[in-house]
This record gives sequence, C-alpha cells and structure tokens, in this order.
Amino acid sequence: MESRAKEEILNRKKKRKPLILLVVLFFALLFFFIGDIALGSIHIPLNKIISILFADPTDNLAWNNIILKIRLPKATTAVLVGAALSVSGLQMQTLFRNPLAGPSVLGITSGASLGVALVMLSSGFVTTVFAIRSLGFLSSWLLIFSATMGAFLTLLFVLAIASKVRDNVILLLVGLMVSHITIALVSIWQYFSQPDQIKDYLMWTFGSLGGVTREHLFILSIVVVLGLMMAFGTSKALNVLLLGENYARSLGLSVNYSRIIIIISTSLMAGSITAFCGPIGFIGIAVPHLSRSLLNTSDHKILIPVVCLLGGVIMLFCDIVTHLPGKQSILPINAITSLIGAPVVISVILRKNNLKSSFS
Amino acid sequence: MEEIVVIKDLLIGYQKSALRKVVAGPVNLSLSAGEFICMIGQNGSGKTTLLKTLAGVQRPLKGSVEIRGKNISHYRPSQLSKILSVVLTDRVAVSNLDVYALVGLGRYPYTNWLGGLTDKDKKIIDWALKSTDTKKFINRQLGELSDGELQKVMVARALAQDTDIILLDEPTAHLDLPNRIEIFLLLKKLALETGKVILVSTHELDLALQSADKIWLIDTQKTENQEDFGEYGNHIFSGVPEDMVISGVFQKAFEKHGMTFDKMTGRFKINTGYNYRVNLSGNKTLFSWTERALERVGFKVDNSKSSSIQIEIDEENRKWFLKVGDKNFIASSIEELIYKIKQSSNYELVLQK
Repeated sequence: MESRAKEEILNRKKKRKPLILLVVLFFALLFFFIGDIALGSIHIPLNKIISILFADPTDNLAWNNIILKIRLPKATTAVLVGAALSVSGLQMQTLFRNPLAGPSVLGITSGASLGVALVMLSSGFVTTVFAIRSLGFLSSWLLIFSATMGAFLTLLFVLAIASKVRDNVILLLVGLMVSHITIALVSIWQYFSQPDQIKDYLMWTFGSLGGVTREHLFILSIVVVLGLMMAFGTSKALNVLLLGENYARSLGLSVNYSRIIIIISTSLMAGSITAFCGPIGFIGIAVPHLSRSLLNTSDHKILIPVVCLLGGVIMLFCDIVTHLPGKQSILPINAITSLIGAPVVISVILRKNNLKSSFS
Repeated sequence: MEEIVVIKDLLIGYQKSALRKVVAGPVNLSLSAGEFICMIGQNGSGKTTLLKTLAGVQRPLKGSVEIRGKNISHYRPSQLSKILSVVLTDRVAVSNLDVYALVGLGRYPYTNWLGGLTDKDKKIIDWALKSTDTKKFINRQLGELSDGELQKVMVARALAQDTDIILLDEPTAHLDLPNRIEIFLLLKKLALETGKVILVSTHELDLALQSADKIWLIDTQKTENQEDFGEYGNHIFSGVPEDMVISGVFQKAFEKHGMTFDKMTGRFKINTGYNYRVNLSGNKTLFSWTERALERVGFKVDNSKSSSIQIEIDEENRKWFLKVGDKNFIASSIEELIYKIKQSSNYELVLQK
C-alpha cells in the first residue's frame, strides 16, 4: 500500500507540464521586463511607457530618451545576461558532471575578464563601463573575441584537468586557482595604474547592465543568440553526456566534437556577457538548479528554454532590486545576484551530502 | 548457429608509445546468436581489457575483432552503437532523471537531432522495460532505486539500444545473492528469447557454471610470476562449463593456497588447513551439513581409518553421538557438537597436529 502511495505521489510530481511552465515564465518575463523599465530615478507613468515602447513616441523628449536609450537597452541586457549565463552554467554542470560548476566558479568569467584586461592593457584603454561605452563597432567585436578566447582557453584548461582528476572538489579548487591567477595579474596591472583607473576597474567588477549601449546591444544579442542556438543544438548530446563519457561514446556520440561545440557555445555566452557587463556571479549556478527542481527533469531539450526564461526573469528581478535604495543610488548588480544565488548553492551543497561523486 | 562476432588471433593489452603491455592472447573465439557467455578470471587478468577491445574502445595489439564479417575498427561510432551496447561499472548518479528517460536514452542512435521519441522508439522502450520487469519503476528517479533495480534498468537501457550484442562488465558486482541470481536469469532469458549475444564478465563462478552457454576463462597461472611475457599473455580458455570442469581447467586456474575446487559439486572449498581425521557415520541431509561444519572448524571426514573422534548421527531424532577417546557425549545441534569436540581434552592435540 505504502509503496503504491509513494508511486502515485511520484506520478503526480511527474505530471508537471513543461509547456505550462514555459508560458508562465514567458509572462513573468514580460511582467518583469515592463516593471524593470517602469522603475527608475525618474518617474514615468506606465501608460506613457507602454505607448513609448510600442511605436508611439510622446512629445516628452527626455522620457523618450530615458526609455529607449537607457532603460530598454538595460532591461534587454538583463534578459540576455540572465539567459546566457544560466544556459552556460547548465552546460557546464552537465559537461563536468558537477553540480557546482558554473561560469563564475570554474574561473571562466575570470578567464574572460583577463582576456578583456589584456586587450585594454595593450591598446591603452581602461576596462571600465565608460571605456566600453566609448568603444566603436570594431573594437567591441575585438572585446567580445578576446573575452570569448579567454573563457575558451580557461575552459579547455579546466577540462584537461577534469579528465585527469575525477574529483569534483579538486576541480572547483582548480577553478578557484584560475580566478586567483587572473586576480593576481590584474592586481599587478592595477599597481601600475592611476587611481581613477583603479576605481573604474572596481566599478566594472561590481558588474553593470547599464554600460551597454544600443549599438553594443546589437552585437551582444547576435553573439548571445548564436550561443543559445548552439546550446539548444547540443541538448541531445548533453542528455547522453549525463550518463558519463563512456556511455555517451557507446551510444555513438563523438564526445570530443560535442565537447568542443559545447565549450565554444558556453565561452561565447559567458565571454561576451563578461566583456560588457563585468563578472556577474552565481546566476550561472543557481538558475539551472532552480529549473531542475521546478521541472523535476534532466532533459536538456526542455531545460534549456526554461533555464533561458527563468534566467531572464531572475536577472530582471535582480536589476529591479538594485533600485530599491531610492531615487539616486543604485546597488551593484553583482552584490544582488550573489545575495540571491549563494543561498541556492548552499542549499545544493546541503542536499548533496556526497558532493564528491554525485551529480545533480 | 549464426556467428556474429569472430575473434582472430587477438592479442590484447596496452600500447603507450614505445611501452607495450600484453595482457592476454593470442586467442581465437567466436560468439553466436543467442549465446550467453560468462567471462571469468581473477582481478587484473584482463576481463575489462577484453571487453573494451570487443566494444571497439581499445585497439587490439594484434589480430582482429570482426562483427558480421566487418572489422570493428571499420565501423563508425554511430554504426557500431546500433550493433553493440554496453553496461558498464560506471556509476550513473544523476538525480532528476527518471527511469523512463534513462531507458529512453538508449534510443539515442536512432532519434533525430533533438532526441525526440517516435512511436516506434516508445514501443521498443516499452518492450525493454517489460522484458526486464522494470516497468513499475518508470516514474522513479534513479536515486530512488536499489542497486539491484538500477542494474536491471541499465540492462533495459542496453536493450532499448536494440543491438545484436550486449557486453556487461561485472553487472552483479554490488548486488546481494538473490539479485545476482535474478540478473543472471534475466540475461540468460534475454539471450535465449531475443537471439542476442550476451557477454558478461563476472566473478560469480557458481552462477556462471550453472547458467552460461559458454565460459571464457582467463588463466593467469602461466604468467603469474613473469614481468614481461613477450607476445603471449594470459591464456583464454573457452568451452561449455561442464567440459571445462571435467578437463580440469577450472581446477587448475583457481587452485590456490587454502582453496580447492571440488569437481563433483562444482564448488570451491576453503581449506582451514588442520585436517584432523574424524569418523562420521550417518546419511541424508544431516551428514553433509555435519561434514561441512566439521571441515569449517578443521576436521576432515575420513572413514577409511579409525580415528580417536567418532561421530554417529541419528537423523530421525536429530541427535549426534560423539565419542572422543573413551568419553561419550550426546549433542542435539551442530553448535553443541562443535562445542563438545572443542572442549574435549584432545582438541589442543588436534590443533598441534
């Protein structure tokens, strides 16, 4: 009797339709998107916002500019950041079969920021939101390229180590060391820099969604959408990789080829986002876990769209929270994502007593 | 019977640049449709190496593995995955993955780029679940299965892959006896009913002897004390279980200090090493159990000569009459019997001999 009751509960747990969740998440995304645009230091009535957004500009030029040039790009950036980092985190968790993998944990964002720093150093720029703002079309491609390469090389390095050691905890430590190496390199650079440059760099490390102009946004969206499409294309491969390399190979998957595709896609997303918005932590780890527990599935075909939307929703929510202190000041986005993401990670660790061998 | 796999002059081992380590072979073997084959051998004898070579994961040092007349290295991975499936010792610990999804992954070689399941795929999955008696678990997460259940599900996944050949690497390693028997029966049944070739590497000598159509025995005797044995590795014997027992191959391969293989029963016996002779009389069930108990504590039953310890069994009343020297005892259980023997003054003497 008892086991049948248990079976029934499990059945019910199973019956959650992913389609319904997708629709709900889509409307949540829309809601938070409008909400994010509506909130800010200058109050603009909601009906005006809607009319400005949907092709009927009001005569108030300042409002037009605020909405279309500042808030709309920022909200769009938030969605891109959430989707890109979350999907990249999901890919890494599966690739490394490690519940705590994510762009920030494995040193991928650090690798990307090192790539950014190197470009800035050699070309005499300063890595700041303001510097990024003043970047032209060509140099923003250069920035994305260098950040992506930084992320890609770091990932290859970590993956090479992962094939040698099968211990999840050691892998995380390696990621930590990579982060420290980049921090060290950057701090050497800072030592020889001007105080205002250091301040600018510090601002960048806080993370910012506001540094992305409309022109940059165009480039960023192309890269992120490309990465997301590649990620969705690898969902079948990711599913068999859950069983481990040997089973995946026995099922006819060319493991190395799939790995390269996954790494390129994840580097593109994590790299480009880091280049423009700074290292934003914890979204990449937390959102995949939240999605998995919402859906109770490990099927990437369903997970990737859900992770995408949920990532966007949470990032918009975080951005809204940054406005909480009041009219003038804005909290650093990185602090908010950490405040929300870190508890999720802790709960994952607590749920998995045996972190060394288990995979969520 | 149709030969599906033919192994010709196969020499297996490892080659890392100039370093060459021969493990076993050269050997000629074949696997036919519907055969259930158990591969046995001590740890490190090369069971896994042979399995890997047969699965195309590892290249042979010499010779060839041919599946349906074509060399295994000429198959593309995607082609091979439709002919050969494996059940590995790798632990699959993915939470949020239910049994149905796992078995469904077996359809990977056949599905489109998104991995969607067609009606045909679902039918085969259903059949795989039914054949392994795992249908009742389909909504359970992997973490909610016992080791035995998980192993059956892994077999179902291999079945769903719809291949002519299934290789299993120690599928009963972490299981208790009833589950081990169940897995063996299941594999045997599947080979018989589906005509698949099923090759299992195992340490279950008893079960292998009782169920396998053929046994591959990797013998480490000759190579045991050699560092480098050139182009000859461990010898691989192949044959039906009974022949292997009769010819003494089994006995030779597994005879080690403190252990004997009993040709009559097909069982291994542990030698406790004392072997003090006792006389035992009686018959039926109690006799053999009493004999076992006596052997366990170091006495050998030998009625050809008279001994200072004599035991007579009264089967009906379940009584043991014990005579040690000139003292008489009556025991009503084997425990009591052993206790009495040990208590008697002769026991110390017995141990010293």
